[in-house]
Amino acid sequence: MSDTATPSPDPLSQTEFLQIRSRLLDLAAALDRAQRAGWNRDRDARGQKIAEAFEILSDDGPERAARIQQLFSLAHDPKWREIFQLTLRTTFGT
Amino acid sequence: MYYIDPHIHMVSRTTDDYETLARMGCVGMSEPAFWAGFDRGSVDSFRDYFRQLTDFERRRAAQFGIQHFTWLCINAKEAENVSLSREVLAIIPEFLGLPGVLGIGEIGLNKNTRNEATVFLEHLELAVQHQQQILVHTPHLDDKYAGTRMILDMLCDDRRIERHRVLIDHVEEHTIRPALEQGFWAGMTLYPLTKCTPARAADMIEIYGPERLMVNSAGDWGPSKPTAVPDFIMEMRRRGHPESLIRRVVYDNPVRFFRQSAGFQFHAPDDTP
Ligand SMILES: [Zn+2]
Repeated sequence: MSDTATPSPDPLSQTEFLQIRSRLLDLAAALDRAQRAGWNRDRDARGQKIAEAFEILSDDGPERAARIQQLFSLAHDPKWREIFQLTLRTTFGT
Repeated sequence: MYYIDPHIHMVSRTTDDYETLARMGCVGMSEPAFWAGFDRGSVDSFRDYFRQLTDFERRRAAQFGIQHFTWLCINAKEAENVSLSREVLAIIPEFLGLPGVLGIGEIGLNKNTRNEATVFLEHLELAVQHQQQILVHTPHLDDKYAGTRMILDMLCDDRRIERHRVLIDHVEEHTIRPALEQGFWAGMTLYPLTKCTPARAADMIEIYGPERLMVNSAGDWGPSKPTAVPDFIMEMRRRGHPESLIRRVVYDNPVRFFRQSAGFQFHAPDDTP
């Protein structure tokens, strides 16, 4: 670090970097553990999701958290109201 | 810093928890009606639960200088039983005028079924008829996105609903935007494993700003932490955010939202240092 200029704050602090590193190791160890227990990623739909999540992590696009949330979400059917055919009751005890 | 936990299920917490929360600066809380950990057998069971929420918890909180408010409904899980739900809906008006009752909640969806949607719509009708505010539970995990969209569809279909009087709770990264964009309030629930962490909640404040956003602990039967709001305050301070911004999220915003209910007779503590 230069001793003449005030350093601009590092956008990725060392603490944040160590947390990312630690969480990656947690993930790696969890997958190792599952594998040792006989888990076959390729024969499990959840394994496919996990692999897709890693792809999102390794691209450099924005909103990774929202995209991983979306990956683990069921789709919304805009026609759900027609499918359910809801009729509303409007009287209540008073 | 004083704070309000806008969504915490104190029926499942000990009196020691009340004391700890008070020591950490909690001066107010709102407790929505929810699932008891088992399905209740009759409407009388709900009547007793509503008495517990409107009377006993209020007094238990007051012992520690905490003002307790509550919301009434039959939760989304038990709403699968439509006939029981209608019996419960019929007794709710008996409690709506009591001190500390803020409105109808937490209503919502759990598995996004037709029965749940039917009972959700009937709750909306009850809220409109009695000019009540609404607190909405959104489903968890892979049901959250579709369930939140369905809930927003039902709320936006009804022109009588005043969006600034509705709180969409348990929003996460993929559901916060639609809730805020449609003019609703939104709550982030700090909950291990299935919801949001203090760091991710702070991220969402940085991205979306503090307008119409709150944080809560849920503090229920599950592995939850009733002191999660102070954890969020610490995370925001660690990042160097001003106290005024933090206070807006954890105190001013809940007060602004709840003040729209006649049952919110809140005595603000003297906040001068
Ligand atoms: Zn809840």
